[in-house]
Amino acid sequence: MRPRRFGTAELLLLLSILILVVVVAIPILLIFWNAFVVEGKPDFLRALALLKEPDTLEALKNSLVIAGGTTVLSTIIGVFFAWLVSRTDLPYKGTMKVLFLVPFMLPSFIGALAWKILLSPRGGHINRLLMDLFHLEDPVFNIMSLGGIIAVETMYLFPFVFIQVSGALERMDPTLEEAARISGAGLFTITRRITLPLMMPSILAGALLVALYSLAHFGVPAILGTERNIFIIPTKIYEKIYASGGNFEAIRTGTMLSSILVLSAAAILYIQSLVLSSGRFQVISGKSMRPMVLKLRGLKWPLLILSVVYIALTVVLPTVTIFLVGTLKTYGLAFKLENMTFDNFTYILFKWELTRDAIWNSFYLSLSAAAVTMLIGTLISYVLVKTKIRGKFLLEFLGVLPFSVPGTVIALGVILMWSGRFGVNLYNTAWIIFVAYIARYMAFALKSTSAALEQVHDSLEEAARACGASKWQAMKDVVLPLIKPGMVAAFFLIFLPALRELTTSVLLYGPHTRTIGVAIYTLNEDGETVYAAALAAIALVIIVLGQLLIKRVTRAKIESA
Amino acid sequence: MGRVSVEGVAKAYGPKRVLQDLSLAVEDGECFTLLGPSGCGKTVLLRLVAGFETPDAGEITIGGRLVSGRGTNVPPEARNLGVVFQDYAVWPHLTVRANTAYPLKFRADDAPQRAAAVQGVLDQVGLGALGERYPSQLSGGQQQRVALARALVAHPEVLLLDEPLSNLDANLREEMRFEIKDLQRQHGATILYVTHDQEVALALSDRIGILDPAGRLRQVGTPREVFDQPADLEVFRFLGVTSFVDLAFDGDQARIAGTPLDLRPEGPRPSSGALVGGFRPMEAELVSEGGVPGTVKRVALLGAVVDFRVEVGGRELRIQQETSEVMRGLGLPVEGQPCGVRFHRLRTFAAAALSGGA
Repeated sequence: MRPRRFGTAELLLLLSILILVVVVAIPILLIFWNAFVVEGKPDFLRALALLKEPDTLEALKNSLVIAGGTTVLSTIIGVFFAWLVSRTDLPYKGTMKVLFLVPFMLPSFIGALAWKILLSPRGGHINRLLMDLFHLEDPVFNIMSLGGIIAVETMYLFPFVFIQVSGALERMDPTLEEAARISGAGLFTITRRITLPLMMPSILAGALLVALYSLAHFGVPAILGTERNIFIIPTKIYEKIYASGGNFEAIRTGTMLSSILVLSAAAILYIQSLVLSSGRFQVISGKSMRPMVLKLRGLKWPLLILSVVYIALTVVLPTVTIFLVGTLKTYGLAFKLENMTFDNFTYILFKWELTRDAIWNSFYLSLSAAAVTMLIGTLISYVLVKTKIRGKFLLEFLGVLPFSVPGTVIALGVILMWSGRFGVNLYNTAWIIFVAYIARYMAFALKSTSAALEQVHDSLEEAARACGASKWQAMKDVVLPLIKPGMVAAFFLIFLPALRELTTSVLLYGPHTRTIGVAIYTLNEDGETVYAAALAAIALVIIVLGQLLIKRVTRAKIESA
Repeated sequence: MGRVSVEGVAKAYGPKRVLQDLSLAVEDGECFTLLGPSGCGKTVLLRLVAGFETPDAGEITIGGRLVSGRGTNVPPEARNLGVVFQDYAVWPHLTVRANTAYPLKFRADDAPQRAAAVQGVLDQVGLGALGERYPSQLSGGQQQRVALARALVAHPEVLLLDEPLSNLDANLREEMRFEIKDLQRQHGATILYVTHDQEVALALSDRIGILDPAGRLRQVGTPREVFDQPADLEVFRFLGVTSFVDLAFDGDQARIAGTPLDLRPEGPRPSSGALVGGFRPMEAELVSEGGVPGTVKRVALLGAVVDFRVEVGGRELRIQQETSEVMRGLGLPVEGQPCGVRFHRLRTFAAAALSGGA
C-alpha cells in the first residue's frame, strides 16, 4: 500500500487524542502515579499500608455497605414499579410512569438536606412530632446513619433500574410469554421461567448503574454521614484533601482511594458491557408491542395508593420541606404564616454576594462547559465513527476513559495537574472547575453525538460529494444538520447536571468560585439551614424550568422534522 | 466524452484482497452492468470509479481524464458523476426539491435556470407535484426516484448506480428498470450499473461484465452473448437456473446413461476427463416415448409453466414446460413415475469444474 500523506483526518485524530490525553488521561495517570510512586520509585507496599489505616478501612467498608444496600434496594423497588406500570392494569399508568422518573431530575443532595431537616435524630421535624405525639424519650428515626444514607440514595437512584426494566418489558415480544401460556404454564411459572430471565440483562444493567453512582456520589453521604463520622470513599477523599490541609500523606491516601474508585468503576462498566452484549436484543425488539397485562382486580387501588404514597413521601415531602424551610425567618420556628417570609429568596438572589456569585458561577460554568464539551465530543465522535485511519484504536481506548472516571477522581486529577506542577496554576479559579467539567461530562457528549453520527449513513455524505460538494461543504450541508439534534441533546445532557453539580466542584471551589451545589453544601455545614434550603428551592425551580425548556426544544425538533 | 476505463486496478482491505488486476472499459453512452454475487467486489469497483476509495494499483480514467492512479487522485466532487446508492441516500432534512437542486449549487447557473432544471427532472421521474415533500413522506420507490433525479439534474457524463433497485418490491423494480433505461436514452449518460440481480442486468444493459466471487472478470458481452454463449461454467451457472447431466462420447455421438442423443452438444470437448452437459429448464422436455429414461421426483404447477424435478443417471434435473403443452401431451405425471427426457440443447463442460465450483 502507498503511504498516505498527513491529511485532515490525521490532524483531527491527533487533535482528538491530544484533548483526551490532556483532559482525562494525564489527570488519571497522575492519580495512579501519586498513589503508587514514592520518590520516583514504585512502592505498592506503602500504598497498601495507607489503606490499612483504620479510618480509610472504615470508609472502604462503608462504601461497600452503602453501594451494596442501595443497589439491592433500588433494584427491588425499580423492578417492582417497572412491572407495575408496564405489565398490570394499574390505573393512571402513564402518569405514574412519568412520576417515577421525577427523582431523576432532582439533585440527591438537596433531598438529603430535606431528609436531614425531617428525620435527623434530635432536630428532625418528624422525629419531634412523633416524640411529642407518643411522649417518647428517644427519636424514632435516625436518617444520619448507614441505613438512612442507603434509603435516601435509593430514592434518587432507583429510576436507573426502573427505566431499563420498564423499557425492556415494553419491548419484549409478548408471543414469548403467550407461547409459555399455551404450553400450560401458569402466571407465576411464566414470570419465573420466561419473563425474569429475559429481563435479567436489563435488571443487571440498571443495578450496575446504581452501584456505580452510589459508589461515586458525594452529596448524600456528605450531608447525612460526615457529621456522624460516617465516611465513604468520596467523602473520605474530600476530608483528606480539604480538611487535612493538603499534606503529602493525605494526598497519597486520596489518590489511593481514587485509584480504587476508578478500578471499581472500570470493573462495573466492563461487567455491564458483558451483560448488555449477551444477546438480549434477540428477543427484545426495538418496536413497542402490546404486552400481556395482568389484571390486578382487588389489588388495583391499594397498589395505586401505594405508588402515590411512595411518590408523595420521596418526592413531594422533601420538596415541600425545602420550600417551607426556605421561607422561615429563623430555623427552628414553627411553620406558621407569621414566621414565613420571601425575603430569604430576594436576599439570596440579589443581595448576598456569596449566593449571587454561586448562581452566576454555576450558570456560566455549565453553559460554557456544555458548549465546549459538546463541540469537542462531536469532533472526537466524528473521528471515531466516520474516519478510517490508522491509530484510531488509541482514540477508541481514550474515548472509553471518561465513562469510568467518577467526579471525585476527576477533581483530584485536575488538582494534581493544574496546581502549578506543570507550569499552569488554575487552583482557586473558575478555570479548574471548567476543565474538570469537560472531563467529567465528556462521556455524555461522546455517547449522544456518536449515536447521532452512527445514524448518518456514510452514503449520505458520499452522495453530497458525488453532487460536487467538497468534504467541508458536505459536512456543513449534510452531516451537521443531521446530527444537530444529537448535539443539542448532548448540550442539555451536560448543562443540566452541571448546573446542580456538587461532587466535583466541592473539591475545587475557591473563595469566589462556589457553585450552587457547593453554596448549598457549605451553608448547610455552617448551620445556615434556612439559607441552604432557600437556595436549594431556587435551584429546584431552575432545574424544573430547565427540564421544561428541554422538552420544548426537543419537541419542536421532532415536529419540524 | 463519458468513456470510463479501468486498467489493472487492485484494491485490498488489510489482508483481504478484493480486486486484483481488473481492467474494463465502458464506452461513451453505454449502459454497462457489472454482475456478480454479493461480496465479489463490484461495489468496491464502483466506489473506486466514484473516488470514494483510492486504488492500491492501476489507473482509472473518465472521459479521457486520469482520475485515479499515477499519483493522481481526483476527489469525487470533481469527477462530474451522478451516483445512486442502494439505500437511496436521500437527505432527510431537505425537501425533494432541495435534494434535487443540490448538485446545481456548485454550478454557475442562475436561479430561474436552476429552478427550471429541477422541475424538469422531477417531472421526468414523475415527482413533479411532490417537490415540497420531505423524504420521510415518500415511499421507497419515490425516494429512489429522488435519488435518480438528483443524480441526473446536473447532466453528469457518467452515472454510477449501486444496486438501486434491490430495496424495492418486485413490481416497482420492473417499472423502475424501464424508467432508468428511458432516462438514460434521454440524457445520453454513460451508465455503470452494479448489481447481483441478473434479471435487471439482462433487461437493462448494453453490455454485461460478469464477476466471480473472487473478483475476477469472467466474461464481457451483450446480454445475449453472455446468456447464450457463456464463456465458462461459472458464467453459465450464474445466469439462471441450470442443471447438469453426465455426458459420454463415442466419436461424435453423445450418450447419457447409455442412451444415444439426437443432438450435438455445443462447446469445447477436452480430450481427457469426464464431461457434463449443462442446460436451462426450458431446454429439455418430458416425453412419453423415447428420450433418456428418468424418474419424476417432483411436480409443481406454477401457473403458466410446470416445474419438474427429474432424476437421470443419479443427478437431479430441473425441467420446465409450458402448462398447456404438458396438458396437451402426456398430462401431469405422478411423482415417482418413470419418464423420458429429450434435450434440445446441451453445453459441454469439464465435470471437474462442476464439482470444484460452488
